[in-house]
Amino acid sequence: MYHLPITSIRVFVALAGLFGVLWGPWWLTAAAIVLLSARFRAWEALLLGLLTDLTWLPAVSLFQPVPFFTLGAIAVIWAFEPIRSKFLLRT
Amino acid sequence: MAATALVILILIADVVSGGYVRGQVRLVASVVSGWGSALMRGVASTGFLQSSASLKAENRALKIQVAQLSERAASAEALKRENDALRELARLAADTPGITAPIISSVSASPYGTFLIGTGGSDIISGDMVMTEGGFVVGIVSDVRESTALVSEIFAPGNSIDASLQGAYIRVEGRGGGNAHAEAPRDLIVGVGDVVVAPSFGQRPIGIVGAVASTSASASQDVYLHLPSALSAISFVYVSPSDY
Repeated sequence: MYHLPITSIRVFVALAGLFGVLWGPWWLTAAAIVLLSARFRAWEALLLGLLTDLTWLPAVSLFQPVPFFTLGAIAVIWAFEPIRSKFLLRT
Repeated sequence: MAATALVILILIADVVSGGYVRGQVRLVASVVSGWGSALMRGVASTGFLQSSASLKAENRALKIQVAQLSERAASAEALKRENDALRELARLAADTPGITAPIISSVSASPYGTFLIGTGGSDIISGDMVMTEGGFVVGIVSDVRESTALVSEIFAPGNSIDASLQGAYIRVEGRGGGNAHAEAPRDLIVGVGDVVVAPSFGQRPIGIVGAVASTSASASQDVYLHLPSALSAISFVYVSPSDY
């Protein structure tokens, strides 16, 4: 059985998230952020969240309107940190 | 930690710069989105991704849709004529100043119910109305950059707007994708194709009734609204000052 290199999977998921940012659907980007965060300390997950808000949010600020995708990506990355440390190999 | 700090720094830089960073990001996004859309149109036009059976089914569905749209167009035209006549009586401006702008991004990619149009600078300002060619208001300009502008759909998820249907007040709640929901009094006679207008947009139409659902136990009926044409099928919009 052929196993895809983990890096290839990471790149594929990140590109799928980028596709979601530009062409949608938005939940594809959200799913990519969660998948990347679950497995890696993925800086690209933060980037996807930031790109979504910079592109689509009417006005970017820290409080109003709330940049949900950026703050959500940060929260997900850090929320998965204990899981990544305990159960998964870090790359 | 470094990446998190960098992201927050970029956000702060954008706020401090008055939106310069997001202006550049949107410019790049609109260009890349255009390339991708052109590529997909090219692939779709070859028929490479479609089987004969699916093409026949699509053909049948499109013929039915054309017939339905013709009927709705006739209904909308009659209402438009009546509305124009009322405007003249009330001495409202018949001609609405404004400019035409292309839609330069996907209309379904945004989780906030927004899309980009290819005009900006001094041509338009935040708060301007964005309408279809048929005069239906689809959104308002929410952010203007040098050559692009972000439009917030009035039917964006979480948005609500006061409207009028058959003379009755209703509160329309956006569901995204050009769709919305409202509750109307149960004794109001509502039909598919009825036009909904918004007082805040000068009694301009904002959608048509797509379906009505009611139960005998309820004092209201659910009215499902949508734009006459799907946003994804619209290439150009008309931007006009909101006080016209």
